[in-house]
Amino acid sequence: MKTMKLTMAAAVLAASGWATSVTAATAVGPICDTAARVGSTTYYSCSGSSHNALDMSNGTCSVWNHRGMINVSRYYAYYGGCANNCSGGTSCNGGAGNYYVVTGGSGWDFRQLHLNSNVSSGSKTCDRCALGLVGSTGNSTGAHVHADNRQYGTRKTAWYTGVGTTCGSSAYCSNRVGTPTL
Amino acid sequence: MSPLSMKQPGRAALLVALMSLAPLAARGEAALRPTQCTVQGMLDDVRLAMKRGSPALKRYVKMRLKEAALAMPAESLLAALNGERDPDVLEALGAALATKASNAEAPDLIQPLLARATGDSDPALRAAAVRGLRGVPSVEFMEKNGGVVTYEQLVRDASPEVRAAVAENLVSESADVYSGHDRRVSEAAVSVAAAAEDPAVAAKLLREVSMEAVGPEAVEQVTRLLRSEDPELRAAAATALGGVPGGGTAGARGSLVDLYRDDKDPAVRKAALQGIARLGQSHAMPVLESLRGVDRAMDAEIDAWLSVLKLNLQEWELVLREKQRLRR
Repeated sequence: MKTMKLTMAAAVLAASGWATSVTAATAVGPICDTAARVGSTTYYSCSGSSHNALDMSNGTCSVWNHRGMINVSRYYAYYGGCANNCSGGTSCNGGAGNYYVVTGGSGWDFRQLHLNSNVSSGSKTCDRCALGLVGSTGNSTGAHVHADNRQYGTRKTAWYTGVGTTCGSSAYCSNRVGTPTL
Repeated sequence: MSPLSMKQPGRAALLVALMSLAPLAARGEAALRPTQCTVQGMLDDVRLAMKRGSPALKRYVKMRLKEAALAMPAESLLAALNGERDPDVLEALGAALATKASNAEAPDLIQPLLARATGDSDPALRAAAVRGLRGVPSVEFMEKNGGVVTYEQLVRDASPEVRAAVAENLVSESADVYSGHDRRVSEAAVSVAAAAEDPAVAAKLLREVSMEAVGPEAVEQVTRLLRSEDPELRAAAATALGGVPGGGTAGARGSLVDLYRDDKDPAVRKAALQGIARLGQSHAMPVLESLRGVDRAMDAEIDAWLSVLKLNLQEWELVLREKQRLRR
């Protein structure tokens, strides 16, 4: 009954010019290598200081594609300009390195950070396509993909805790790692 | 019935369930054999599910085909698409092919789908081909395929089913792919609304596609639609004008005020008030105050907007929800 009321309310809003309501997307791992694993979640290495995002790696640098994680077509805005790197430790783009942002409604976004650029890199609309290579640009201590889901710039954690993703979980490209809000 | 006797049927059911888990060979039945996934096999599953399956099964088989298509050779999908005559299966195949095109960044893959959308003699199949493009960057894909097929062209189709599919695609693309932020899709929706001979389709586009990123030319196109003969379309144009970005707000506000004063249709006047409220938010209050008395029957609507705008809510969705709580 409650669901029906919510559905009807959404329909009324849609008919009144409500077109950009916020939805839950599905995010899969960014690396199509079965060895890819989650290394950090709410805390660095799951026991360090606060992190509130996922770090995922397969132990290689500039070899594997860093892929879009949202499993439908979305617009990925690219912010590049950082020299490719496999050890990190720079403040390029405020520490984010080369990165992508998917912008949702009501201040929500989903970001993928630290990639090394290649011919695939650039703003584009696609479904889990190659965005660059797994790298370590910006404030990073080794090649990995950092993914976060923020509202008005604050990182949220429910998108991955809600599906049980933790350190050691698979970050393979067909494995669901979270349900970010967009 | 005692608690003990209640347990007996439960135990029997458990036993039956456990027996069903025993290895098939041990029960003298033929063992299951692995088979290779083929496009045809998957399409047979889609065909069967679409005829007799539950809504959940229908969603599942379409999703499975879409995911499998990412790894399938495009040729096998294209061959199946060209020969398909069942609208449901054509739509599922089209969606799979379009997803593959989005994943591989290969817009040319959708060319056969565009050909079916324009050239098929059966309107149900044309509509299915259009629906197959839902949820991918179809406006961009059409441009990258040389603009040979466009939504402006498709919206003039003789079939209402095709025209409705065009509107649904653009609404979905703006909201689901771009969260309303893409100028190209919003402007395409405005152009399609202007080109549409079906006022219901044009109204849907203007009412439901985000206008937050449109340029001045699109604002002018929407403003011209305020003079449509169809009241539903005039109301939708007023709603759309309320969502245009900063640069176009002064002209849009003037047009909406004129519309409120001149149009006698209550639904159009109501939409004009909403547009004025959205454009100005709390700054719209003096404009709304000045419209009191133009139509006594609408003054309660103006009062409702003034009550909501006084709250200084920071997002339009919250403003709209509160307004609808006070007065629909």
